[in-house]
Amino acid sequence: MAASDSAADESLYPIAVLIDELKNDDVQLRLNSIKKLSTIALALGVERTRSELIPFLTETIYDEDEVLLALAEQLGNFITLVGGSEFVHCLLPPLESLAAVEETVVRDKAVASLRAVAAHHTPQALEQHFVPLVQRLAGGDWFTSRASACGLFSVCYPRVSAPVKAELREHFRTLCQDDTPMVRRAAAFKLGEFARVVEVEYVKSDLIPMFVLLAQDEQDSVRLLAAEACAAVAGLLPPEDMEQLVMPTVRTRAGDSSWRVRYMVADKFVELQQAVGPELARSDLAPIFQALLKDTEAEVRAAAAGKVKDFCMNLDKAHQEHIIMNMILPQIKDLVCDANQHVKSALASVIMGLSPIVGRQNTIEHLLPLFLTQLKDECPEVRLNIISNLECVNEVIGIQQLVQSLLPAIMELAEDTKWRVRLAIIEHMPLLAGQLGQEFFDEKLTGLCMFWLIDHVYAIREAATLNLKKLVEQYGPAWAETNVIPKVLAMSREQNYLHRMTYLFCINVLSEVCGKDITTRVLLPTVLSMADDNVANVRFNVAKTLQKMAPYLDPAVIQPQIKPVLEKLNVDPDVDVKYFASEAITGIAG
Amino acid sequence: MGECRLSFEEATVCMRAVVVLKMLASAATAHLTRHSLSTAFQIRRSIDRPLVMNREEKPALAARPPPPSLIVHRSGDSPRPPGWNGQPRRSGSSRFNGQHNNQELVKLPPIQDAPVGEREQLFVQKLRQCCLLFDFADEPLSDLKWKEVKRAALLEMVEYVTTQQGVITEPIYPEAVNMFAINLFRTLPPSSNPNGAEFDPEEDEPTLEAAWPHLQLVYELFLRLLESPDFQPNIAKKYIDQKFVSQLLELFDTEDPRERDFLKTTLHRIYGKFLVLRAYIRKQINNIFYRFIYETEHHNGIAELLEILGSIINGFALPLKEEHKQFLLKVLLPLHKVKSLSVYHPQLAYCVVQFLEKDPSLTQPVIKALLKYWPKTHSPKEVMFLNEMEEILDVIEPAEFQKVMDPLFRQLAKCVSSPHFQVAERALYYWNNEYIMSLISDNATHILPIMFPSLYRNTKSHWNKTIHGLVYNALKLFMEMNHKLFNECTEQYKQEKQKERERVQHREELWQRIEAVAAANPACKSHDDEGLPDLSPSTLQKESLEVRRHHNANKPLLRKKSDLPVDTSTVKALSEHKRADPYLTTPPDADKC
Repeated sequence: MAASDSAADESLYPIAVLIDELKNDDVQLRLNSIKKLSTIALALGVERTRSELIPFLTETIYDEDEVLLALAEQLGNFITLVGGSEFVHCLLPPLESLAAVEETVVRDKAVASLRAVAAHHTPQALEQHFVPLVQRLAGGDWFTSRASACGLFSVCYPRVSAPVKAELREHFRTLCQDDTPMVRRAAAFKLGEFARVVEVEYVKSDLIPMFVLLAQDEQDSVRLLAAEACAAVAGLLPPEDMEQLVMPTVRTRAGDSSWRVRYMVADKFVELQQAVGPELARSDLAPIFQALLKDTEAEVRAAAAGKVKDFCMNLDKAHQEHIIMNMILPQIKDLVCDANQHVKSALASVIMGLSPIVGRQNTIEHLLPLFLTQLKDECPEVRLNIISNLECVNEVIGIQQLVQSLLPAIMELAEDTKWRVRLAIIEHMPLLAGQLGQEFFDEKLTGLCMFWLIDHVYAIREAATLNLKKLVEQYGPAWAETNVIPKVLAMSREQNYLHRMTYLFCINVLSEVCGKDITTRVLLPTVLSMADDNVANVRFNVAKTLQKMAPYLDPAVIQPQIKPVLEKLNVDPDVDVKYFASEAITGIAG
Repeated sequence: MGECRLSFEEATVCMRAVVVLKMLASAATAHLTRHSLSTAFQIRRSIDRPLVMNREEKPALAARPPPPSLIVHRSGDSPRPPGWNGQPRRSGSSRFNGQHNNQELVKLPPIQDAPVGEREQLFVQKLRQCCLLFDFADEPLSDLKWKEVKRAALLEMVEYVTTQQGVITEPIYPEAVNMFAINLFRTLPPSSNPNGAEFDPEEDEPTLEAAWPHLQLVYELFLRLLESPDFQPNIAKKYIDQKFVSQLLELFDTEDPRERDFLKTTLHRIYGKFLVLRAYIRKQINNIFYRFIYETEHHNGIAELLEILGSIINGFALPLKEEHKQFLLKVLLPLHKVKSLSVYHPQLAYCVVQFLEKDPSLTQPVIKALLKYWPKTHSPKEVMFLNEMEEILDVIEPAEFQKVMDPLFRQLAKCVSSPHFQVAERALYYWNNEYIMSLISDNATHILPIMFPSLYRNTKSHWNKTIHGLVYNALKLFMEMNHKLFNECTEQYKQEKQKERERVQHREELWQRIEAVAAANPACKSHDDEGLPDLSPSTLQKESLEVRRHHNANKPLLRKKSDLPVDTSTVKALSEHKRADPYLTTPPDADKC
C-alpha cells in the first residue's frame, strides 16, 4: 500500500481489520483481537468508536464464551474511549446482550462492567437509559437475564427520582419471588447490598418481607443466602425493630433442618452479633451460639468454633465473663475432644485468644488444661495452631506454664513425615525464639534449626535458611558468630553437594544481617575457597553468592580477593558458570 | 557431575538442565503410555462395537433403553494406607440429636395371621411403627432388638403387598406416604471425605448410607406399592404431591449409588403414574441441572436423572413441543460443558440422539452447540465428544449433514491433527464408518479441501506411528473417492503453504499500523498500561513468590486424594445391590404432558 493512499481508505481499515480477525478460525486470534479492542478504539477516535465500533460489536456478538468474556471485560474500560460520561450510555446495548448469555462467568463480568459504567451516568442518563435496561433484564424470558438484573439495582437506586425508585423496588420484589431458584438465589445474594442503599422505611416495608420470605424458601440454597444477608439487613435497622423484624429469622435459621443454613449462620455470627447490639447478643444470641457449638454436623461446629474468640470478645463487658465461663467454656471443653479434626483445628486457632479476655486466674485454672490437651492432639494441624498463637497466652500467664508440654510437641512436629508440617513449624520458629528467650532456645532448639538445613526436601532447606536469618535479626550478630556460623561453615566441607549448596544459600541471607566485619572476616574466605568445587552448580552459586555479598563486604577486599576468583570462573569450561560469573562481574562493577 | 545436575530441582538450577529433564521425562512417559493406552483403547473399542459399522446391523435406537448408570465404579484391590482402621465409611443422616435412645417397639403379630377384618388396622399399625427412626451411624449397636422388629415389619409388608390382592385400601395411602416421607426425607450429610475435599465421583469412593438396612426396605415397599395393580394414583395424588416430589428429588444428590438407583426407579414410576406431576417433575429436574451447570458443577445424581429423562424422551409425541426443544438446547447441550461429563456422558448422549431420531430438523442446532462446547484442552472429554458425534452422524439425514458439514469437518480436521493420539485416533476411526464415508463421498468437493491439509501434514509430522497408518488409510480412501480432486488438493496445499506465510506477515503489518494510529491519539497514554504484561525478571520472581505464598496459605495441611483407601466392604456392599429395574421403560405419553 502506498503512503499516498486516500485518507478515507486509511480511516476505514481499523474496523476492517477487526472484522477480518473476528472471522478467523483460530479462537486465540479472535481473543487477541478482542483484547486489543482499546487500540482499535483509540485508532478510530471517540466519535467513530461510538458510531461504528460499538454498533458493530452489538450486532456481531456471537462467539465462544472465552471471547465474550474478554469483550465484557473490555467494554467496562471503554468509558473514556467513547467520550466520557456524556456518551457512556452507548456502551449499554452490547453489555445488555452479554448480561443475558448462558455462561455465568460472562454474565458476571458483564454485570461488573455495567456496574462500573453506571457510576459514570448522569442522573438523567440513568433514568433514561440505565433503569430501562435493568427493567428489561428483570423482565427477561430466560432466567439468566433476570439473575443478572439482581446485581444492578444497588448501583442506580440512590441517584434516581422517587417514582423510579418505587418502580425499582417493585421489580426487585418480583425477582425475590421468581419462579426459578436461580433468580431467587441471585436476589437473596444481592438483598443485603440493595438494602444498604434503600431508605430505612422502605427497607422495613418492602425488603424485610422479602427477606423473611427468602429465609423460608423451600430450597436450602436460597435460605442460606438469606441467612448470609441477615447481618447486613440487621445492621440497617434501628435497635427497636430488631426483635420483631430480624430475630425470628435468626432463631429459625439457626435451627434450620439443613446443615448448610446452620453453617452459614455460624459463619456470619460475629457480624450478626455486632449488628443486633449487646442486649440481644447476650439474651438471644448466646444460647443460639451455644447450640451451634454442639451441632450434630462437624461442619457447623467447626464454623462456630472458629468464631469463639471474636464472639466472646464482643460480648458486653458486664456479662462477658459470666457468659464465657458458664455457657461457652463447657462447650469448648467438649470440642477439645471432638471426633472431627477440623473442629479441633478451628478451635485451636482461636482458643488461645480467650486468655486475655478471661484473665490470668481463669486461664490457669480452666484454659491451660485445654491448651495442654490440644498440644498433644494426634492431628498436627491442631498442635500447630496452638503453637502459632502462643503470644496471646504469653502476655497473660507467661510461657513457662506451657514449656514442659511445648517442647515435645515442637520436637514431634519438627520430625513429622509430612514436609508441609515441618515447613509450618519452621515458619513459627522466629516467633518462638522471641517468646522463649535466647537461653532456652540455645539449649533446646538451635540444634533443630541446624538440622533442617540438611532436610531432604528443598522447600524445608530453603525455609531453614530464611529462618536462620530471622533468628540472627532477633539475637544479633554476636550470637550468630558463636552459635550458628561455625556449624554452617562446617557444611561447606560436606560430601553431599546439596549441603554445600545449602551452605551458600545460608551465606546469601546471613551476610545481610551479620554486618561487615563478620561477613568479610568469617564468611568470605570459605566462599572463595569453594570456587574450585568439582560440581558446576556449586561453582556458579559461588558466583551468585559473591554478587549478593558484595554490598555487605568491606570494599577493600573486592579488588584483591573477589575479582580474581570471578575472573577465573569467567573462563570456566561450563557455560552456566561462565554466565553467572560474568553477571556477577558486571553486577559488582555497577 | 552431569548426574548431580539432573537430580536437583530448584529455581536456581540452570534452565538447560530443567529442559533436558523435562524432555527426558515426557519422552519416557509418552513412550510408556503410548503402548499401554493404545492397546487398552483398542480392546475397549472392539468390545463396544465393530470397527466397521453397517447401518442395517445397528439396532434402532428407539428399541434400546437408556444406558443405566454405573453402581460400582472401580475395583477395590488397591492397598490400604497405614493407619486405616478397617471401618467402612458410613454416613448417618443429619437428623439425630441423641434423643432417640432406648426406643422400644412392640413386635406385632403377622398380618396374615389376623382375621380378615382386622388386617387393615394391623397394616396401619405396622406402618406407624416404622415411622420410628433409629441411629445407625453413631451407635450401630444400639437398639438392636427394636431395629430388628422394624426390619421384620418392613419385610413382611413388602411380602404382603406383593402377594395379596386388594390390601391397598384407602386408609393405607396417607399412612404409607407419611411413613416414606419420615424415613426417606432428610438433609443429606456433608461429604465425609476424610481429607475434607469435596466428593469427586470419578475418584472417590462413595460414602454409603448407614441406615441402609431399613432404607432399602422402605424404598422396596414404596416401589411395590406403586407397582401394585391395586394402586390408584387418583387417591394417592392427594399425598404424593409436588412437595413430596421435590423432596424426593433433593435426595438424588446422595453419594450412595444404591439409594440413587432406587430413587431413579421410584421417580420413574411416579412420572409414569401421576400425569399431573409430569410437567412439575421436568421443571424441577431442569432447575437441578441449571444449578449444576451454572453454579455448583457438583451433583451426584445427574446420570440417574438423565436416565429417567432418556426414557421419557423416548415417549415424546410428535411433533415435539417447543418446551421439549428448549430443554434439548438450553439444558441437555450445556450439560456438555461441565468438567465431570464422563460420569453421565452415556446417558446424556443417549438423550441427545433420541431427540435427533424423533426430529431430524434439530440436528443443525445440536451439532452447532456441540462444536461450540468442544473441549479445548481436556482430551478424554474430546474423545467423548467424538463418540457422541459419531452416534449423531449414524442417524443424520443427508440433507441435514450438508447444513453442518463445513464447521463439523473444520473441527474434525483439528482433531485428526491433535497431538493427543487418542483424540486423533478416535477421529480417524470415522473413516471406518461406512455411512459416514458415504456422506463424505457425496460431498467430497466440499469436504476434501477442508480435511486435506491437516491429513497431509500428519502423514509425516505426527509423533505416533499408529496415527500415520490411519492417516494414510484416510488419504487413500479420499484418493479412491475422487482422484482428480485429490490431486488438485495436493497442488492447492503447496500453494497455500506459501501464501500462509505472507498472510501472517500482512496481518502483523496491519496491526502495527493500527497501533501507530492509536499511539497518535492523545488519549492513548491512559491505556498504555493495559498493554503487554511486565515480564522483567524481578516481577516474575515477585509474582511467582506471591503465588506460592498464597497457594500455601490456602492449602490444607494434609490433603492428598491418592491416599484414600479403597474400601472393599463398600465395593462389596455396592456389588451386592440388586437393581429394582435394570432398564427404565418408556412411560406412556397418555395426554402429551
